[in-house]
Amino acid sequence: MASPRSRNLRAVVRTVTLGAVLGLAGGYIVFYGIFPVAGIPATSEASVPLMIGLLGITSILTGLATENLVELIFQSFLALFLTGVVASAMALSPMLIGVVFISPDSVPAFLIHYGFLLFVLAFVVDLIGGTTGLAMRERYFLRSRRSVSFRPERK
Amino acid sequence: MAWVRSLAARWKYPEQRVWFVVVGWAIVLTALLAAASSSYSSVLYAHTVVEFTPSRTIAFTGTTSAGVLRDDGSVNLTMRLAIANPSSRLLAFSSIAYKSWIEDLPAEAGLPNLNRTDTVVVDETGVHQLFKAFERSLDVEPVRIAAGGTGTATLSFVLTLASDVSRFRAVQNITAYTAQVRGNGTAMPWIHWVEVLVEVRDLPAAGPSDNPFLSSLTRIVIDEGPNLG
Repeated sequence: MASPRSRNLRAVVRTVTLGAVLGLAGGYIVFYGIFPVAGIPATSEASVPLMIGLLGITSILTGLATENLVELIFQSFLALFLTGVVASAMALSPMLIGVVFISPDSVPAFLIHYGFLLFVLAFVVDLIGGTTGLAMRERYFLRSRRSVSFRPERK
Repeated sequence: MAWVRSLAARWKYPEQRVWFVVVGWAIVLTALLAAASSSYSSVLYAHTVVEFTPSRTIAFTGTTSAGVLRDDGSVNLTMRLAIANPSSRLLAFSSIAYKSWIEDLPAEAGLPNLNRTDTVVVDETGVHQLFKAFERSLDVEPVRIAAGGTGTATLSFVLTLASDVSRFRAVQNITAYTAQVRGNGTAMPWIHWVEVLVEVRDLPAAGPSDNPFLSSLTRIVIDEGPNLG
């Protein structure tokens, strides 16, 4: 049996890890939404179904790995912040090859100006998809495991 | 190996299997991020490394022995545009704008009734009045510039009495005055400005409703020479 401190630590690590995965997807979506010509696939206009699909898959998967609703809400807020960090890092990535095209200071404001709706979209889809994943976890994973583990005790 | 056995043991439980999928998906997302960042960086790199080397020649035809432009003469501007593309993107230039000014000696001498507007330039050698003899922007047949390659185009423009009366008369007047004071009417200094629009061709073009930064991302505008207005 793990100690409460160990359980709390594991919960924090889990929340940060899943928030980071959501942040990766959110950051990519914000970047792709603003620069679809540089996205994968490169398109002249950003595809909304693709963005919702990518966010939806990610949030359902993280929801399946989330233990409870409180963690889900925490990781959604954390993902909102990490979305900005990842999108900024992508926008600043040309600096790695020595190209400074826009001032690094202006990148966050630029992303919020052009990507505000995408941040909102990412947050909403994270919550809805995460809740869906959490419900699926309760329905399919935990119930089946409980039925196995508790069956002998019911006799 | 112990870690393989440890991972295999974790695969038994459904909620732990989910973590394998989450980690796999995170790797896919990271690959997407890396690919998009790389594509974006390569486009911006192209903006900074494309080199533009224009060369221009001015030739007068139909002049007197002193170099005065006759009514049946012409001024021929030939531009050779060479664009080197050291980047990994496929580029093409399809649009150019150019302006060429000739030094207006009659105006500098203060001759009256010239009826033309000059650009005044002050530099270390003094005050110069320059007449804009050529000005145009046009689309040309796209010239592909392969990654790591060079694209060149040679364009010719002719100023005749029929093509532009007022400009032709001004240049004719300048050559006549210059022939008087310098002996050769065609030996006038010229100043050129040329701008080319280079498009990144291996990416889709931005839509008209997209943000202005996006459209400037796939269009590289480079110019050479002073644009005097």
